Amino acid sequence: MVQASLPVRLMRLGLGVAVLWLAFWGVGPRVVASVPALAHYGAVQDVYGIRSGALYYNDVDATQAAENNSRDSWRFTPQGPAHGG
Amino acid sequence: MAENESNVVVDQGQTKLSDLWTKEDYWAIWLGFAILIAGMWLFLANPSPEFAQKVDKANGVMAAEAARAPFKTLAYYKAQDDKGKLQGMDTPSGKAIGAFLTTPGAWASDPLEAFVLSKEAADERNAAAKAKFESAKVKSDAALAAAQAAEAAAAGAAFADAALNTEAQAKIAEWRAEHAKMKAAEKKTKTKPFNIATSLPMLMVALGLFFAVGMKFMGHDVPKFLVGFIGVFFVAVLALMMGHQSTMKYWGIGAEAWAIIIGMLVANTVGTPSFIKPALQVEYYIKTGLVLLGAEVLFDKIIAIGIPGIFVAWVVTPIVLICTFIFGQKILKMPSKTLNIVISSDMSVCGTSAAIATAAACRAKKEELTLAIGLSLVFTAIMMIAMPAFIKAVGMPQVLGGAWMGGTIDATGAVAAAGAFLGEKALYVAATIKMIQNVLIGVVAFGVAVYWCARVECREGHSVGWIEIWHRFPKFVLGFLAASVLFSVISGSLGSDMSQIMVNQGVLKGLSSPLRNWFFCLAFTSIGLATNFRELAHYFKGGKPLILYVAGQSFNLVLTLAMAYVMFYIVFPEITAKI
Repeated sequence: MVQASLPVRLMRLGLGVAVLWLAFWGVGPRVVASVPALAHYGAVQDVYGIRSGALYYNDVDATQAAENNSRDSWRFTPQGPAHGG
Repeated sequence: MAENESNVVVDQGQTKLSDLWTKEDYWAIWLGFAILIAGMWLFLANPSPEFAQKVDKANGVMAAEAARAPFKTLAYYKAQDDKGKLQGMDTPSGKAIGAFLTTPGAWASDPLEAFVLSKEAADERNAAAKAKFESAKVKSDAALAAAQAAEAAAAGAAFADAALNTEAQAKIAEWRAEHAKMKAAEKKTKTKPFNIATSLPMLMVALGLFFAVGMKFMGHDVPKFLVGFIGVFFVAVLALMMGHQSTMKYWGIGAEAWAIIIGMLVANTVGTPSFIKPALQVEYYIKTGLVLLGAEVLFDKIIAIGIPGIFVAWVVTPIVLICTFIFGQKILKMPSKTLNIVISSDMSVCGTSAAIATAAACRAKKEELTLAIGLSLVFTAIMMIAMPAFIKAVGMPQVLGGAWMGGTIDATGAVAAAGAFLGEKALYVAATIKMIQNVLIGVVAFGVAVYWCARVECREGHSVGWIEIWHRFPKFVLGFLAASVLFSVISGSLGSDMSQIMVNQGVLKGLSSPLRNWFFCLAFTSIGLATNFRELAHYFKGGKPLILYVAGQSFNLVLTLAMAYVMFYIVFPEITAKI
């Protein structure tokens, strides 16, 4: 297959970058602004320090808190004076 | 994923001693274990006695509070938070390694801020965040005072008044929510200046030389590899920078996805420069990263949320995986078994990480892995918004909603984010279920590797002997499993608290996980730079991959919800009450 000339290839690269730019920084923010659920979704990620694109559980700090909470709920189940006091 | 003519690696039917230093599967094991051994030496050899003392103190407080009140009191939560702050990597050497392995940071509008932040800019950010923090602190203090008053009232009635107990629990939950917001706001007032423009080139040299050792023994041209590695590393850094852009959180697009996007954009427009090609070692990077991932597959995690969690994550998932694969073969008649199993495991287990492990185990083509990850990204972006919104709309309990999302949304980060959308309880349940499901990767990778060697890669009607299976078996899987078993044993022997501090927050998060992320990013960059749009479109022909994903995910949604409801609300309601 014949390769296109360099200016054409560079133009294609520029077009690709422009499409991505438009999608993520043009349309994207407008979608976020018009969908309250999305704005809330972003806000809670900031609160809990979560990156929604994280790959594995060790990449999500909240997982540690979740695991601690779960294990402690088992080991130190609140029972109160009627049971443990 | 493989780079030969057919894009499929086929081992010759023999095993030689020289394989140990000439095959990339073994080099992935040697390099992976070199990192893990260094991590154990750095973080496990001399544990601080302070950790055990602080853990004992926190556990003592929680035990006393559990006996004092029938709900988690303020002191209980504070002790739990204190325990959670302990980190094995919080040492001078740990901090130095962390700084060296740092990826480009978060940024909003100026990409340079991902690499360099001056003291003036940091001070400016801190000053701008101060007002929000002070406002959050006022709310948190008020919520704390209300919670203290409600808890005192409940204590005044000897915790015998159910209404007062319920009121105290509600006020404490409100304080937890406000406290989390306050801590997040406080963090933003403590931004420190940084400059990774100097550490990144050093890291590039270190990683290049690290992989070059294996390249030398495997007979590759090392100087050409090192020159090409500069290009791969540069694109990987760009991908990491894009993955940390502030609006990416809305779409769940991380560095790995950006690595494919940028790589493919370059490859399919200006073309991948030929000097980069010797460094496009997809399998080498992926397999080394997978050996490191094996250390994170800790089997003691599966009991974290009790029997209902095991049923949701470890019973439903294999059923969905196998049924989806059979559906793909028998009903859809998928032309590629490897594409079928990669999509099935990606959708049923845990997204990208499961796709990587399965693709490497069955030697899928790089286009198949790219396609599976693309599908997962699209559906994760939809599900992570739609599911919590639906759960909230129908008034589903947080535990059920969390378990449902944890078992069905592909990506681990997206699961936590979707859980947080509903509240702390849903976040905790969703994240824990996903963590248990993450551990299943080890079993799936091993099972797929064995099944492929024994059944798929042999002529119909012929059986394959164990020796032949051994010849064909992707050996890096053994390193992956060995790392998993070794770290599971270490983790189990330390106990859950010390394991969390020394293993998760030490060896893994201090050294292994950051390197694993770098390796996967290099791998995905290589995939992108070597992928042709036309070849990719060929695999999507007829839309069968999409139908497979939608059908499998629909089944997953129904079965997971049913199992979560039965387990958490009918069979084990007492466990649900504890969460």
